[in-house]
Amino acid sequence: MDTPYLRMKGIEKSFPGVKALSNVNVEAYAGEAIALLGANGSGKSTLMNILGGVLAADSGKIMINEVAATIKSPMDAAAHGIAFVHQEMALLPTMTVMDNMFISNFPLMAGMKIDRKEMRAQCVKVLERLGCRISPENIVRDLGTGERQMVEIGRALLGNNRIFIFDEPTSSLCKREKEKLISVIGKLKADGFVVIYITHFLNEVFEICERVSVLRGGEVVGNSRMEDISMDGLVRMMVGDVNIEDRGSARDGSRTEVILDVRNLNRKGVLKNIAFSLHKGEILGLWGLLGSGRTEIARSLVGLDPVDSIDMRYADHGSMVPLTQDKARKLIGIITEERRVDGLFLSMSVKRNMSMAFLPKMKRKGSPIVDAGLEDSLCEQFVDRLNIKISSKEQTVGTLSGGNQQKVIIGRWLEMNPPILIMDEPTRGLDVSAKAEIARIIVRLAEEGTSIILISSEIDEMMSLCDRFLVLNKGNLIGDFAYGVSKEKLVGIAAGSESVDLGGNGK
Amino acid sequence: MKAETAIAGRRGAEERYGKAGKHPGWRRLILIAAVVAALLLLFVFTPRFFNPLNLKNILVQSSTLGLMAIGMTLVYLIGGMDLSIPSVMALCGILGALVMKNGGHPLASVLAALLLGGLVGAVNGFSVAKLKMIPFVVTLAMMQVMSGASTWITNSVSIAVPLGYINIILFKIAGLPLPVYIFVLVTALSTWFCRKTVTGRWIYAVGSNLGTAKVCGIPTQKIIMGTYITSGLFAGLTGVLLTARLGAAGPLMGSSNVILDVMSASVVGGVSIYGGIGSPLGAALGAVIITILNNILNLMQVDFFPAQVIKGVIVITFVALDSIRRK
Amino acid sequence: MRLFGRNIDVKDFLFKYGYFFVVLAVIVFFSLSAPHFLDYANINSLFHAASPMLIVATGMAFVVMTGKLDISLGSIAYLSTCIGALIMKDMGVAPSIAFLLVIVVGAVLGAINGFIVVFLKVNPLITTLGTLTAFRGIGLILTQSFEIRMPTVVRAFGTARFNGIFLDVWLAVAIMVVLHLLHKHSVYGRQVTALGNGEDICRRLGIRVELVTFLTFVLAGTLASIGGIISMAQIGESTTFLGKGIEFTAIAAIVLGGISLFGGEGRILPGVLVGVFTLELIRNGLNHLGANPYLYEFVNGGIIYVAMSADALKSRLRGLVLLVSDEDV
Repeated sequence: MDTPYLRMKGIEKSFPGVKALSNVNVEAYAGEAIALLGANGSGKSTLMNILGGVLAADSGKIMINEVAATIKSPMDAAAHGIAFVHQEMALLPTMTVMDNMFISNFPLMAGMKIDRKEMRAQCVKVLERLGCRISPENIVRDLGTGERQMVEIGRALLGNNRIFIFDEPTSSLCKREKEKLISVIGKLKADGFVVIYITHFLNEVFEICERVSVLRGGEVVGNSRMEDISMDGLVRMMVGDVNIEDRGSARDGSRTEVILDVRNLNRKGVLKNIAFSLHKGEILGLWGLLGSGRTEIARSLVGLDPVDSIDMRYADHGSMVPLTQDKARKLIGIITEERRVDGLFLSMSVKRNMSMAFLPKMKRKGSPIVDAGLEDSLCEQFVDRLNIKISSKEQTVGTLSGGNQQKVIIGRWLEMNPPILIMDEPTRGLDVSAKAEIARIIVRLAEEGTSIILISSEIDEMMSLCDRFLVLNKGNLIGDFAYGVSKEKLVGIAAGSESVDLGGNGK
Repeated sequence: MKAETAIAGRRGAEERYGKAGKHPGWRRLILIAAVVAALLLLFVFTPRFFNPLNLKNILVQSSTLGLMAIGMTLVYLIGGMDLSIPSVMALCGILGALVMKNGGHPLASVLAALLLGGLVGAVNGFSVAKLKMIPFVVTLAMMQVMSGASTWITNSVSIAVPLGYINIILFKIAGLPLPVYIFVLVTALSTWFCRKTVTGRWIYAVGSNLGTAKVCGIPTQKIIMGTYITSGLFAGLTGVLLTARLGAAGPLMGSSNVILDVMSASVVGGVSIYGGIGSPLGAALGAVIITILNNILNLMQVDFFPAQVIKGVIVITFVALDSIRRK
Repeated sequence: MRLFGRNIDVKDFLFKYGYFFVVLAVIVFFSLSAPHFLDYANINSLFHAASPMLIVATGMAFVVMTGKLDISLGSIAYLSTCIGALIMKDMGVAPSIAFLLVIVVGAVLGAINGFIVVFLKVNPLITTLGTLTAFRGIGLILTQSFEIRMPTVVRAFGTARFNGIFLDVWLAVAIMVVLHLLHKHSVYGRQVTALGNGEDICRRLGIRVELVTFLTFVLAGTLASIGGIISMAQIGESTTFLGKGIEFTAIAAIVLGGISLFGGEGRILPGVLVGVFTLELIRNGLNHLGANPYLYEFVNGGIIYVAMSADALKSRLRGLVLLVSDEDV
């Protein structure tokens, strides 16, 4: 146990415009669990994707048991005994638990027929090990998220694997399942395997792991044995120096008038009794872990996601009037989480992308035609204002860099000039300077009176931009804090290491 | 084929067209070059092609094919598909003929045909937009329903239409019958509509990326329904015109080789079956090209079946080129 | 509503076995309204008539389960049997060898479809629409649109019985059993259903998507040609409309058998068997009632539409996955 079983040396990886990983070195020892910590965008997912064969590193080496390993595909990774339990599950909903676990690895009789008895037996064994109450014949689509996660984990345990990567495995598990998983990991360690554990729950790190590596901005900023570090020390290693860019005037959101009031937002299994107010010119941050319901809240406000119930009221000339999801569309713009999925029309020009949300208002008087001149000038105006680097207004949006793409999306909503703007991970995947530019734009928008709901997984960004924070956990609103709350407190609450102070301004 | 993606046909032309613009310029150039080359060959080998009567025929035949192709194109643009167009066309023609056979006024006949077309289009559109059914399957089912109804109602016998009606519809201006002008008019209007109006933009948006379109507040369901209804209306209109030209309406009007022609016309005209790319003008030109192709094969006395084979290969080739260029 | 094995979820039960009720309803309706419907002779001849369809529909089922469609199966049946008929007539080849060739040709034609879909990455709907036209066209060219009589021994096979049940029915059922076992117990079979869940997920799971898809088209083509052979033997000659439109009837049959057009669901047995049987019942019943044969196409289309809406309804009702489980921290 003196030499690391797994060594990732000098891993470098860049995407267009972004350096995701710089000279990353990670070592994991047999019989131990190592925690991989870091915020979104820190590079830890990229690093694990490289280990799992989903991505290829630009340079660097992976050594398994001191032997160099070439991993170019998920199958290579599997061949090297690496099992990656993803957070977004790769499951076949119409098939049974059994089929899901063995789909690329069926036990065969005489090399031809699937040995169902054997398959069933192994499946039952694994499910027992995990303390999971489902049967091998259950159809996966009938299972809840926690159970589905168990199926994923079960699949990983079945192969001839020696290295296990768990990516946020407990985020959808209930208490009983969590405990069972922890004991399973304990057994894996006892059997001499390597466990890489990615999580945001810091107490789990202390409970499960022997070592920890922290990534930030694509670099390893700290390594430690768990016995050598305290919870505070760990949090500090994660959040780094308190280096919040001061916005100038610390704004107290509650001083301006309420512009939007949301109550009774419910969606079975997703959101429970969400209620909050948004003030004019305020930047309200929705903070929480993946799966806490932030994006769902955002999408529910504009009717992109279905809800069981929602009461919205909007300030219209001094009084609060009811607001339906349809009408909300006209008042609330939304910048979605994944710009390449539903934020852009990749094959269309910058100009057209920007005008798309505002077209009905861009018609020439009394005709159904789009006013081309107006479209042009508006586009130029916002390209200028947002400093978007394009070769021409006709340039295809798909060819722009991430930062510029994001600006185009922002430009689209600015053209519409809504009083409320929701931004979901607006700087994800962008390089430092692009991030700073967008941050500046957000601040300026707020100063000019737009009310903003900001969702981001980067604590620094949230700290420097938001006037107020709503903290979410598994669809429940568990905290409401004003500017001035400490970074440690926010990270701590979301990570479950801090108790929740249900009273407002924590410190 | 999961339900959501089935509607927009695999996320439109989006992830496939990365760098290409909406109207790929080089493709137009190749098309024009091909046309010029073809004309030269024609002049040498089948000079009968340039006979004015033949050319007139081509225009007339292109009109009906073109109208259907434009309807199909609108549906392609939003990322869908409408296999029922020829069958609807036939049934509408038959309905119109029946109305007149039972003493109805020609105007009533035309209206009935259009109404039926629009109605079927509405059912198709509703099934795809609201019920989230797969466009291919829905319109396939509808195709069978319409075709079955056609043969059933007419007992496989064509229904003749009165001479007066034919004379009105085939009224000649400058030697060309009305349908040609209607075709040109519809082409111009729909192309203008798609290029210039807000709804036209929305159509391209829906076909390009349904998700983004929803985020932008575009009424995607209405757009989807609208295109299918329009396609049905155009099919109905074609039924009216074709019936007049043939002098009678019968189920064979919508036989299975017609759908292949309609698809060929659209695809050759630069329309992408995945959505978001193409224009009615392209479809109209494609219809002319396909008609010319049919005409040439005819003049060269190529048998019907080899001609079918050739057309089948052409469709696959064009779509394959489309796919390869994207990947 | 997730109750494992303890209570029966009515909705799920309906989703899975609803189609059985449809069959029952059809049988009841027709036996009440048409005399001689449930006669042994009638049922026997019904299966006899349906045996080519049983085989073709099984091939179609495999394609549908991978999430795709193949509408060229009728043309494959036609072209492959044409070639067989021609070499029997023009070159005096023995039927057994000729039929072997037919099956090989069927596989090749299926491979052409597979190649275009998998390697040229053309949409399967367009591909098979093109090959539907091309293949039939080639067949018509080869035969000059003439029918070709089958030798006596073939015609005899087409009407032979064994233990009172037609030989071709035995053959069809045997083939279906084999394919059912293939689907249920082989890696290939399981991966066919997996594909219907989404190609991306399958790739992540290490399934060789291209290979499975390609093989499925080959399988469908092979089965289509076998169905064609039986059809040709029954009719006694190779006709120009052999297999015409059989794809659409096959689609109707398999949706009646509980196989979803979205892919990833369904079983060969009893699914395809029940579906084909029901469809034939409907036709047979309509026939007995003296209905106009032109109505068949109409009814077929109606069935496909209704089945597709049921599928879509199921899909919508299943809804999204819950983010948070009921029993919680």
